[in-house]
Amino acid sequence: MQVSLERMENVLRPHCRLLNASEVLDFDASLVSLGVDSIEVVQLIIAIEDEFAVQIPPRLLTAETFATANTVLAAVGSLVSVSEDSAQEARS
Amino acid sequence: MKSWGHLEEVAGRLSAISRSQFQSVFEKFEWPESLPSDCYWMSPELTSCYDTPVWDRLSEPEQIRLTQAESVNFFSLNVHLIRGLIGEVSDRIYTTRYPGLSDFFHDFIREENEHMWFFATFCQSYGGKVYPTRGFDGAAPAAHESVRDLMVFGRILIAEELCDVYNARMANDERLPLVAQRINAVHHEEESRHIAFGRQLMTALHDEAREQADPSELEAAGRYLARYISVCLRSFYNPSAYVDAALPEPLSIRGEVLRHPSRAAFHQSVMERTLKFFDRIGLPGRESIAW
Ligand SMILES: [Fe+2]
Ligand SMILES: [Fe+2]
Repeated sequence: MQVSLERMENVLRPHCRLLNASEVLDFDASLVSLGVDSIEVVQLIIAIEDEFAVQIPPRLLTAETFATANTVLAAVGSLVSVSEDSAQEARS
Repeated sequence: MKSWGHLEEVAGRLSAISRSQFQSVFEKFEWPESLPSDCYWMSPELTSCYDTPVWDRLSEPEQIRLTQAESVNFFSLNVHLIRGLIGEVSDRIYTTRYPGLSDFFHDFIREENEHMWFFATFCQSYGGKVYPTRGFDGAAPAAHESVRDLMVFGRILIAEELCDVYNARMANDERLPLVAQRINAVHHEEESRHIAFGRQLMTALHDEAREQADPSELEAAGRYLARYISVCLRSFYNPSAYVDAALPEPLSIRGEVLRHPSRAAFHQSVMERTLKFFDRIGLPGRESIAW
């Protein structure tokens, strides 16, 4: 499983309340400025966990992790590769 | 405004009741060493998987373990909600905006501090932990002070009324251990005062906002509270609880149950009372709730 930019954008977009459908999602833009406030971030966490079948650990539930699309991508990428590693270990 | 004057009167009456019924929280409960592992700790009808194919697939021991993990999750949610609301109320306790309410706020904080203690004691004694929150705190959006307070106290009222529906249903559920019944019963009783006050305060804030704030701000506040309702309802679906209950494929359960229409119907039923109140005072936003 891989965290592609496209897949991440599909998860993020519905939660960027201030981003129009026709606008490009800037992965370096502040998510707060795109409408991901403290309520929306909870919905976003659920959407990410369900889409990538991971659990975001409490140490990553911070404003820094959810600062931009890129910081979210990095955090989720690290979780997905960890869960792939453990799945591989379980198989071998 | 008439509603503000009435608010002080109501607060004074509720404070008097709170003080006359005072009993140390440390004497209110008997805490057994452990709870039986073969019985429900939460009413199964209130668990997040009930009335879905996931629930039907679970064996009886798995269903029982789910009620146990979710009782700890429910009480953990209460702990975090209380942490937040004590902060908001103490921020306002001696401000000029709420003269005449300081005494009530003192009683409110004392009671909530006690609630947080018994919820957390249950979680730690029988679940080994308080589940962490699945988000992080943030301020309500900037707006006219009446609208900002409407959002803050609206959040508090939504959380208190929602949890109270659960408390009321479990207060006399004899399938649960006595200590679990008692926690639900005590909380239900004391919250009735907070809810009475919260509704009066929301009425006053809404009157003030209608007079003083821009209508678009009031509409935005309604949508904000609608989103808060969706988030509150989803906090009952905690994958960590599914893991702790040793359910098969715990990480895919939340998605599956939340897609099932019976859950949306359940959500509407537990929020009905609060939404009727919001309709009555004329607070907009109901149509934007994601059930
Ligand atoms: Fe409480
Ligand atoms: Fe309360």
